[in-house]
Amino acid sequence: MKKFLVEFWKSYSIVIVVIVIGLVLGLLAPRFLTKDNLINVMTNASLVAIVGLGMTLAIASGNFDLSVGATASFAGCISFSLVPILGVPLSIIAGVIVGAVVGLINGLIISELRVPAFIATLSMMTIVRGFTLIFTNGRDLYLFGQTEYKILSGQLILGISTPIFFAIGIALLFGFVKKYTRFGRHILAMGGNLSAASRSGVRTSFVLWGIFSIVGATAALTGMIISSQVLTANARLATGLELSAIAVVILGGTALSGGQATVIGTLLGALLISMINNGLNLLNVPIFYQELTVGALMLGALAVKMQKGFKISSLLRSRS
Amino acid sequence: MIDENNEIILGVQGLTHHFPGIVALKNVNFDLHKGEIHALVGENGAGKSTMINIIAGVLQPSSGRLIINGSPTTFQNPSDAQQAGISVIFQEFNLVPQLSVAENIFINREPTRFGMIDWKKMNEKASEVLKRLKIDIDPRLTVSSLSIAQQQLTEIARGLAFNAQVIVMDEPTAALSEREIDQLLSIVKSLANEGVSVIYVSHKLEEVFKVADRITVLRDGVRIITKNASEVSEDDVIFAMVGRALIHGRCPERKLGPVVLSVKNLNVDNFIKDFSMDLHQGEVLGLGGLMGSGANRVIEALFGLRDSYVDELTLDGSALAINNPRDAIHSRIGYVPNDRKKDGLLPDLSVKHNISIGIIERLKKVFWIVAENEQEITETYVNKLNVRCTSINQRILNLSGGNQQKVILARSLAEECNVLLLSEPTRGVDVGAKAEIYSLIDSLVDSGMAVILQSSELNEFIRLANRVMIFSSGQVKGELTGDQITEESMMALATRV
Amino acid sequence: MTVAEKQIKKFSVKLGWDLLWERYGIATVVLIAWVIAFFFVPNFRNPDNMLNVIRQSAFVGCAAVGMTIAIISGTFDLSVGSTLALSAYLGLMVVSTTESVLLAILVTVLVAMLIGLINGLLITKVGISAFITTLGMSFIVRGLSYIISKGGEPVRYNAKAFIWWGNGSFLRIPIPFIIFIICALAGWFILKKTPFGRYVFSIGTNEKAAKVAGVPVQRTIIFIFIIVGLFTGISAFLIGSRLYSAGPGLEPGFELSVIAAVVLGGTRLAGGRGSILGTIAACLLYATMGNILNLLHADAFVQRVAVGMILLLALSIEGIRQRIFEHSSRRITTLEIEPNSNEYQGGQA
Repeated sequence: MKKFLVEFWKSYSIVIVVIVIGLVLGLLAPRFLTKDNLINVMTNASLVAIVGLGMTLAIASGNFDLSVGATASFAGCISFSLVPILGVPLSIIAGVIVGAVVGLINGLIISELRVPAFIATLSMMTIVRGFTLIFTNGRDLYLFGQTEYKILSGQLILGISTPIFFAIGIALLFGFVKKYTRFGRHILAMGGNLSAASRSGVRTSFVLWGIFSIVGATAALTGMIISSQVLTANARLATGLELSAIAVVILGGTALSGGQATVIGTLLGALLISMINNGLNLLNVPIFYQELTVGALMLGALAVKMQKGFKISSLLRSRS
Repeated sequence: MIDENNEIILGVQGLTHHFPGIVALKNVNFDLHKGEIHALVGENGAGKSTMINIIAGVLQPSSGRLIINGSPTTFQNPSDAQQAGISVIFQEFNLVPQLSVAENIFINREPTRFGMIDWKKMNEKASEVLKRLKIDIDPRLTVSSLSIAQQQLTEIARGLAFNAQVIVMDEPTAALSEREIDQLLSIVKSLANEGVSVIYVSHKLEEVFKVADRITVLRDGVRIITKNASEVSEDDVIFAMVGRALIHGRCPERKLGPVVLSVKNLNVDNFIKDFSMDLHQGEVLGLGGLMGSGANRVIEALFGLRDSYVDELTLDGSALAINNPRDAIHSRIGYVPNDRKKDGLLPDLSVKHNISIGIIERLKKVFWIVAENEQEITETYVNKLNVRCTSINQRILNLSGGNQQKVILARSLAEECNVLLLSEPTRGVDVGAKAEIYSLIDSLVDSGMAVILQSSELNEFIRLANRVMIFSSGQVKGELTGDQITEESMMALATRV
Repeated sequence: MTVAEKQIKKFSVKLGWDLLWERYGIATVVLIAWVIAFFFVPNFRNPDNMLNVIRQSAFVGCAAVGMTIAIISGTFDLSVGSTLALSAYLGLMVVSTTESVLLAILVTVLVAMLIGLINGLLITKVGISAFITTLGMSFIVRGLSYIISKGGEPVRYNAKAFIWWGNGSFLRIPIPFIIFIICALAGWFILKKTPFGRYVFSIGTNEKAAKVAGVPVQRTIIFIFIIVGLFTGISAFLIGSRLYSAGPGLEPGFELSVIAAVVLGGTRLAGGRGSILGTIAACLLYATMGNILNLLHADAFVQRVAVGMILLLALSIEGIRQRIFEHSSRRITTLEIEPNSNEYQGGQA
C-alpha cells in the first residue's frame, strides 16, 4: 500500500492536472460531468490506454514500437475475416495472437538481426500496412449482423463499457508484472543499464521478445475494439496510433530514457487527452484543435519537468 | 601459503581470442586452486579484461578451453558461468541506477515465492550480505542515490551475494578510500580462508602483494610469468609487465617566468571554497589528492566545464571570464580531459579532424575550410608529437590509447595555448607513450608554456611538477616544492582531514 | 613495425569493407537495380520513364538532405511531415491570392524554417529531448494547419508559372530533380567543407567531447533544425506545385519516409557517420523500386511491403555480418576499448 502511494505520489502532478481540467470543463460545459459523458470520455481514453500500456513496457526497456498502428489495423482485419469461420470469441483471440506474432517478429528482428528498434518497427509498420492492404484489397471489411462482435466496445455492466474494463484490467496486470515478476524487473534493468543486465545473466533476447509480443497483443486489442465500434475494419484504421500511444506514455511520466515506468501515469495520460478532446467537443471547438492540444500538452508537461535540472540538462545531455 | 597439490578449481588452457583485427589473447594458460588468491596483473590492453570476460561467459574464446573442477566447460552466456559458481565483479559499474540496492545485488537471482518476487526476503538477504561485509547501506535505497564509493561496494556485495566458488574482481578498489580498501582486502582474505578462490585483477602492485598468493603477469595478450607472490619482488613484476625496468625520473630544473594565470578565491559547487593560485610561465603545477578531493573540479572550473564563482581571474595581467570551453580556448587555455573516451575522443572522426576541431574557424576563408591549411597544420603536429597512424585520415578509434592521447594533446597545441590543463594525461597509455608524453611536456614547458597537472599517480608529480598543491575534501592542505615532493609527503597531506 | 602497428593495419583493412559498404553500398545497389531493370523490365528503358523516376526521387529527396544533417548530428526531426503540410498549404494560399510565385516560395520556406527554429530553441534552451520536442511539434503543426484551413479543404492553383516547378523540365531534365541535386550539393558542401559541418559530425559522434573541444553545441543544434526546415520547405513547395494543391492532410507519414531514406542511405541513426551521396542513392532506390513494381503491374499494396522489406534487409546486413563473425554468440558492444568511466551516463531524458 505504501509503495502504491509512493507510485501515486510520483505521478501526482498529472492527477492534479486531470482533476483541475475536469472541474474547469465541468464548469464550462455542464454536460461534461454527466455519467454518460464521463463513460464516453473513459472509453475513448481506454482505447489509447490499452496500447499505451504495452508501449509503457517497451519504453521502460529503452525501446519503442512504431508499428502498433499498423498492427492494430492488421489484427482488426484478420479477426473480422475469421468471424465467419471461427465465430466471434475465437476470432477475437486469434486477433490478439496475430498481434503478438507481429510483435514477436519485431523482437526477433531487434535481437537477432540487431536492427535498432526505431528502424525495425518503422520498417514493420510499412510492411504490415502493406500486407493489410493486400489482404483486404484496399476495401473495407464489414460484419453485417454480427453484433456479437460489439461486445468488445459495448457496455458491459452498470453502463460501463468493455474497453474500460480492459484498460483497468491490463493496467493492474502490468502493474503487478512490473513490481512482482522477474520479467518485469528485468525490463526495468534492461532499460536502466543494458550491459549490466546482460552481464548479470538476464536473457535480454527473451525479455525483448516478451515485451514486443505484449505490445503487439495490446495493439491488436485496441485495433479490434476500434473496428468493433463501427463494425468496420480496413487498412487505414489507427493511422498515427503509434505516436499517440507514445505521447500518452510520455505525458504519464515514463521517461523516454528507460529504466522506469508508471502504469497509472499512462492511464492518466490517456484520460487527460481524452477529457480535453471531449471537452473541446462539448464547447463546440472544431475537432482539429485536438491534435494541437495533444502536442502542446506534451511539450508543456516536459518543459515544466525540465525546469528542475535546467542548467545541467541544457548543457550536456539535453538530447535523446 | 598455497599447497601445490591442492585441487585446481578453474583451469584455462590455450586460450586465444581475436577481436576484429586484434589478437587480444594468445595461447594463455592459467590455473586457480581452491582457496587461492591469484592476482592477474598487466598494463591496459594486456588482455586482462578479455580473459575475465571469457571466464564470465560474456565472450566466447576463439580457441582454447575452460576447465571447471576437472571437466572442460563452455559458457554460452553469463548465466552459465554463474551456474558454475563463478561470480565476476566488473571494473566499470554494472548497476542499474533506477533499481534498489537489494535488486541490484540479486539481479537475475531474485528470490521468488509462488513465482512472485519476494521483496521482504530479498531485502533481508541483502541486509545480511551487506552486514557480513560491514557495509552500511540500506538495501532499499535506489542505486542512483548512492555515492560512487557506495556503488562500488554494492557492486562487490553483489559479487559475494551468492555462494560462489570463484570470485573474479576487476580493479575493485578504483573508487575506494584507503580505509575501505583495507576493509575490502581483509574480506577477500577471509573469503579465501573459507575456501573461495579469488582472481584479483589490479595494477596497484601494493595491494596485490598484500593479498595475493600467486601472481600472473600478462603482456600484449601473452602470459609472461606465474609465480608465488613470496618469490618475486615488485620490481620483477613491473619488469614483466612493461618488458623493461621503469625509469623513476625526477622533475628537471624549471625556469619560471612571470605569472601567467592568476586565480583569486575560486568557488566551485559549494565544495571548493576560496581557492587561489598563481601560475608562472614555464611552470608545472600539480594539483593532487585522493579521488573526490576536488583537484579535478578546479581544472574543470578553470576550463568552463563547471559553474563557478571567482573574485578575480587574470591571464597575462588582464581580467577574463570563462563560462564555457569556447571562452577558455579563445583565451588560449588548452585542456586534456581525464576521461578520454567520454570527454576527449570524437571517435568516428579522423585524426586530422580530431586535431583541427578547436581551430576550424580560424582555418576558414569566407565560410569554407581551406583544406591545404588544415592538412599542413595537422601534419605538423602529428609529426611533432610522433603520432603513429597509417595516415592522418585514419579514424582515431583505430589508434592505440597512447596515440589517441597524443592526438588530444595535439588538439590543444594546435590551438596555440599558453596554459595547458592536463587531467590524468597518461591514463590508459602504455609505458612507451608515457615516456614520450613526459618529455613532450618538458619541452613544452621549456618553450614557455604553463601547465596545471592533475593526476592520481603520485610518480607523475615527482617526475613532472616543480610545485604541488594537495587537496583533501575541497581544500588545499599544503603546498610542496622541489625536493619536498615525495610520495610520503603527498600522501600525508592527502589523507589529512 | 611494432605489434601494435601491425594490429592497427589489419584493423583498418577490416574496417575498409565496412566503410566501403557504408559509403557506396546503396549507390551500388541502385546501379545494379537500374542495370537489371534496363534489360529485363519492359518500358523501364523508355527515357520518359527514367526521367519520371528521377523526378519522383526529388520530393522526399530535398527534405532528406536536411534530415541527413540532423541525423549525422545525432538528433532527428519527426515534425517534417506536419511542417511540409503547413508550409505547402500556406504557400498555395499565398500564390493563389497574390499570384506571385516568388512570394509563395519565400512563405513556404520561411514558415518551415521558423518551425525548425522553434524546435531548435525548445531542444537546446528548455532541454526537452529532440524526439519528444519534434513529436509534440508534429501534433501542434498538424493541428495548426487544420485550424488555418478551417477543417482541411485543400487549396488549388494551377497557373503554369507555378506548376512548372513540380512538373516542368529543363533540357528534358525534371526541374524537381535539378533542385534536388542543387540541394544535395549544398548539403554536401555544408557537411564537408564548412566548420559548421565539422561541428555536426563532432556532436553526432560524441556530444560531450565536442563541447569540451570548443564546439558551440547549442548554436549548432539550433542551426541544424533551421536547415532541416529550409530543405523541408523546398520539398513542400515542389510537392504543392507537383500536385497543384495542398491541404493539411498532405503526405501522412512523410517524416518516416524521409528518415527511412536517410538511414537506408547509410547514415547511422546514432549519429557521427553518414553521407549525402548515400541519401541521394536511397531516394533514387525508393523511386526506382516503386517504378519497377508499377511497370510490373504490382499493385500499390505490394509496393509498400517491398519498400519496408528493402529497408529492413539493408539495415540487417551489418548485424548479420557481426553475428557471423562472432560465431552466433551475443556480445556486449562496449568491450573493445577499456572503459575508464566511473560515472553513470544515466538520469532523466
